[in-house]
Amino acid sequence: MSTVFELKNVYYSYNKSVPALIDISFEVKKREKLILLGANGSGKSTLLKLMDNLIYPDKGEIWAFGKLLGDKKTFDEYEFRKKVGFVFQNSDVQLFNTTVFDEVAFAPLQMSLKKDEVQKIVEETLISFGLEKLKDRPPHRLSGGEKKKVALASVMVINPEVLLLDEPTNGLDPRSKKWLLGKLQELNKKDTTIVIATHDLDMAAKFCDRIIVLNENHTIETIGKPEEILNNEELLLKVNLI
Amino acid sequence: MDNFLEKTILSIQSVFEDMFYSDAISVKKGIMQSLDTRIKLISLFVLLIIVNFGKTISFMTIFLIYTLLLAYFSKIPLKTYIVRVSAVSIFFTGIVLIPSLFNVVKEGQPLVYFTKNFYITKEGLKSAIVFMMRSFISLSFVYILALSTKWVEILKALRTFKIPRIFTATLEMALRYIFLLLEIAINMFLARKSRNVGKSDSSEGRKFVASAMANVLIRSQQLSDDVYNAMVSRGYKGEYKTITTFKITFYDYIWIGFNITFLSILWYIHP
Repeated sequence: MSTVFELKNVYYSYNKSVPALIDISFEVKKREKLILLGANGSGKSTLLKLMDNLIYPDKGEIWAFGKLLGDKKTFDEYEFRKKVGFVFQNSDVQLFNTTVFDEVAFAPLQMSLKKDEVQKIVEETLISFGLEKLKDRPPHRLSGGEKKKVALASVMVINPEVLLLDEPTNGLDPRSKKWLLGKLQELNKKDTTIVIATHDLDMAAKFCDRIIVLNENHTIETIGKPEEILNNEELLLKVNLI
Repeated sequence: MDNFLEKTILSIQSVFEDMFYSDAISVKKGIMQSLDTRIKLISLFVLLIIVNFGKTISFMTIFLIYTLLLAYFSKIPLKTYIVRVSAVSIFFTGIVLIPSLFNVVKEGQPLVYFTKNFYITKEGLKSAIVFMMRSFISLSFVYILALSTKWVEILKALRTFKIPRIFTATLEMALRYIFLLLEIAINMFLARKSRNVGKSDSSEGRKFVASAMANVLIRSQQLSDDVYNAMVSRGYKGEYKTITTFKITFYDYIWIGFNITFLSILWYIHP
């Protein structure tokens, strides 16, 4: 399996003083389902933002698809955005357009696809996510589950190779959660690499190939298979997850 | 405190209610609802300009009937419409116009005497009435447009008028996030209310509302950072691209035809 992401000794701090991530190194393989597990405040969300090139590490390097993020000579932002999708924890942040249709059409339009082509792929995406009836609705009138569906659809519309999700099951009812897990499985079968930051142990148990555990000192505690980690009560107690 | 908090909560709720009210009317099947939003915007703009050139009571009466009929056929609840529009156009405009009724401001034929040298003039009264009617009709057009069209559609129509994208995009986002911030605010007030025991004075209430406002402002700033990140993540590079689908239908041609005929006849009788 080829490597899609490689992080080497990444260090990030807020205002150059409060450390949020210390010495983070790991790889993400193609088609992998990876979970970043950690308690609140351990730096999971920050790590995803770094991987999406929204913020930049103070020290260390992040490589994506064999290219160093932010490198002026080799890094092409347009290509990167096409390949990596990010679903934010708070759907309201992600749904900034006035209708569901506009929301899903946003990414392909920014990527300069032709208008009729955009129309077509947006219609297809809305159908595959079961959102066609909501297409003219404003996002603030949707339920939490519907918002999450729209957020995922708005990212998946350009069919990225890697999907980064921040606490995707937060605030979802059991049915929406089941739908989300099913959809992620389906996407993974179609070769999408999935990286999820969560503290939801139930989700980690059901959906992943590998787990990276972050501790409250903002470093990696351990990396391992789900059965090794989720059955290790001592470890979970140590990182304040149970 | 109770009152202050309660009033703030109620007024936030009324903003939501207003929005639901206009959305409910905009999906009804009326004249204005069946038109393309671009045509609506342009035609009402043209009508507004023409009305503001009107100087006689008879000219204004024709337009007054026009707006009332338009409101009726656009399924706009007439009572609320007349009360709301009159409140501004007759009451407030009326107060401003009081001095212009008298001979001291504008000389004219005496109508009602207060003293020998201080009276209401015929010309003053006439121009005040024309002014009030003009303001009633102008406001009516805006009111009818706002109620018969979803805000989203109005903003989308603005996109097609070569207005710089940055303005329309900012307006669209403001419309989108105003709800989120109102929701945050109302939840803060309700949380405060749920912890309210006994009576507290209104100065405390004002303090709470002021600090809540600051809190919402700070949150909106954090939110804007996050939203910007979410935009960049999906390929935004400084130019906000959008897609708009409007269709001009048979009804639009009828509407344009009718208005041209109406204005031509009006021109003929009232050159």
